[in-house]
Amino acid sequence: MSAPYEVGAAKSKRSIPDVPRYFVPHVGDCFANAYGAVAKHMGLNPELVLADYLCFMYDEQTEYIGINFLGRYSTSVEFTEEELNSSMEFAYLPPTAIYLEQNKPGLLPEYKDRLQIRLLIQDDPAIAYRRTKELLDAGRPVIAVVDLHGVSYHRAFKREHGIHAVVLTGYDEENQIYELFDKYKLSSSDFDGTLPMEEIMQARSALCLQNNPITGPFSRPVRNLWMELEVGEEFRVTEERIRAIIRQSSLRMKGLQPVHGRVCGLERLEAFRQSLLDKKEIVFDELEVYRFRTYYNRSMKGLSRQRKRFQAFIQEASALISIPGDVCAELNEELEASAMRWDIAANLSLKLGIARKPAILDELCEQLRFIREAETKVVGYLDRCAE
Amino acid sequence: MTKEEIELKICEMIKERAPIPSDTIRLDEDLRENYGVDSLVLVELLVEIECAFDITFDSSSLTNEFFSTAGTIADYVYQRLAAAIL
Repeated sequence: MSAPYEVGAAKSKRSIPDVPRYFVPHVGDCFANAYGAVAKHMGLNPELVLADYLCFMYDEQTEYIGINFLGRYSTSVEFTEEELNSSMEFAYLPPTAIYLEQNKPGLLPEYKDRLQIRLLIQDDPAIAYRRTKELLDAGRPVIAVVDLHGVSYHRAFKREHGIHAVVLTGYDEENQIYELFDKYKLSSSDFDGTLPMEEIMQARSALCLQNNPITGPFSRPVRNLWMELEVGEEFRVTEERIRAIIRQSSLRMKGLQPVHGRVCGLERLEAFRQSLLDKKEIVFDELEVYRFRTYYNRSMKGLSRQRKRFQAFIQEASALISIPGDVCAELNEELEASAMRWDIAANLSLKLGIARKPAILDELCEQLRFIREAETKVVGYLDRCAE
Repeated sequence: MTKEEIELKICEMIKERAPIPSDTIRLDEDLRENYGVDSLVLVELLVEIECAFDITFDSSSLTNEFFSTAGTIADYVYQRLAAAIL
């Protein structure tokens, strides 16, 4: 697959300088990390504009957990508006759309006070190539999604499949290369350089084959997915919106604000803890081993990072809105404790998956009890912040 | 078992599992930075150490922050074994 030039067209190149190589250890995932880089390039503060609500979700039927949506396995890269908009106050994400050259996306006037993040797909690599080039020519870095199996700098190259976001910052048609970086160090990514266009284009249109004991084998076609970020003309980081994040977090944690029709928060945390206690009598077969060793381990690591991220948000917010000093300090302490306990719980889950000793469930549930205590206090402090 | 024997055995175990290959594992070097021991590898390693020395690590110690070097793991194991003798 080579770059689809128009016959007779001059070969061009472009490089966008000084795109921040953003990474923070508490970032949610590779997508959020890439959003952070582009948001910073747009002069925005990622800790504020990408802040997500404090929350916890658990579904007994599937046994999935999550923060502002359940961590399920997706078989496509197409998401609904509802799925995409349960986490962030400052951003609006329209549903994934097929990019059409005759109908180019622009700012949505009804969300002119938001950071708009568009997820676009296009199965024709030539069209995706032209749009990428167009954006880079306009000085806009492009968040492109690839299958890790196809990118040569990553340890997953030719070994494992997985959808991953990178930031393209330039291209050179003469030498057939893209300039890009990938600073999502949580998956051992630390790349900053150039790669052949062919490699990127193939990784962008890969099928991304997956298999695990929870879902069985499935594929998740990447479909040249990319993201375009724009700020509406009335976008502002306002005190009202910051307080809305705090209020909404409290409501969600108290179970008073359903997300995707589900009650969330502290009550769900207790239900999750009870469900784990009930597993003490079960056989740790391949499915349960995977659930603890991989699914819960990753999900709980994600929860630990989210508590740290919320801590960072509160820190930034305290410079913009008035929060009593003692409340801020206590909130900081309890969020720190919660993040640490989620990290320990994640490691205990992994340990359980390796050692298969049901006794470890007691230790895991003890950590969840500590988390519930800490997060109950957090909710109390959030209510005082929101006053 | 002497402290030196424990250190030697633990360094050997780390060497076998470290994602970043190294001829020797230094007791004072950061495991994540120098040998690529992330939390996944660390927990696998700690489970192996539990079996090898017949000890159990406290839940709260299962983090990269707590066990950042081979030396901190060896100290912990040594103290656990010493306490068991007493």
